Amino acid sequence: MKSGSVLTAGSEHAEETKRTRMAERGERPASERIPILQIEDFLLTSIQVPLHDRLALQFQRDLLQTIERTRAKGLLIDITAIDVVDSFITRILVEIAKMASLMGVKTVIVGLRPEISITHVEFGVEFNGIETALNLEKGLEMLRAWNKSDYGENYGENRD
Amino acid sequence: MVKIMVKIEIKEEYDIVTARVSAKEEAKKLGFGIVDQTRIATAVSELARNIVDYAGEGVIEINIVRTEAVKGGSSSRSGSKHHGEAGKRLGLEIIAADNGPGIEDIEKALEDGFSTGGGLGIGLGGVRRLMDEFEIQSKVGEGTKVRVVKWKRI
Repeated sequence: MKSGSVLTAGSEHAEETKRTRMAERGERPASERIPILQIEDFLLTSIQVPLHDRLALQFQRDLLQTIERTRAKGLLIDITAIDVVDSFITRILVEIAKMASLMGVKTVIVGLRPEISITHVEFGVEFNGIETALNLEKGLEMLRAWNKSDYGENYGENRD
Repeated sequence: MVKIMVKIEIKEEYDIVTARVSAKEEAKKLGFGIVDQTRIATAVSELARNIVDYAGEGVIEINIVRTEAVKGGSSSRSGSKHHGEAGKRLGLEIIAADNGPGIEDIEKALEDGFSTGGGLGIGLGGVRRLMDEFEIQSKVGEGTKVRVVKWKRI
């Protein structure tokens, strides 16, 4: 038991050292993930690190699995921390929204700063099929309103 | 007059981030506003990704460029933008170079919606719109060199 815990501590230390060394070399651990949180009937995620191909694919997979598991009705993606919205990140976000939409989930992107909006329009990329909102609060309001109107249409009093 | 500031080797995806972060830092140091910093960083990100996607490896160079006062003081372009008194200008130049497959039809590559790499196909046309100057040289089988400049509004 005792030796076991010492071993664990040792390997944790080794893992930490490995991570520090990787960070020093500018590398990133393979297990890097973007957290997905649940709030009411919706999923909330904030992209805080630069997306690269592998991380983007992992993120898409994680999101779709979480949608299935939680039966979420909407998805909020916060991009306040993103410094550049180039064609790559746009493609990833548009794909996520399309995939989520196939599973009946609406996506709202929030937190586009003014300089990002200006550059985005000049650059010529488009968030086809994605709604955007100023901030988390507005995005959440938007999803709540949708959710309510969907509910009203399907189960409202006027239903036969 | 050109002063070479930073040279970044682009070999893998993560180098794209390094390149755009350096470009943004240099733009900030030079006194560019946040919108121009973002335009420059976006252009660099796109150029670096082209290197990774199409050529595998290449180089991004970030330089300060200055022009002294020239006759008339106007730029070589049709130039409706104001570039300060007597044509004295300060800017950031980005050169992206690779020895990749080259581009067969440059005109077509600059059109929106054209892409051979599975992207959105707005890459090069978008870069041209974000920057003040845009030049491209490419030879099939030899490589591609893109040079862009953003001038500072003085």
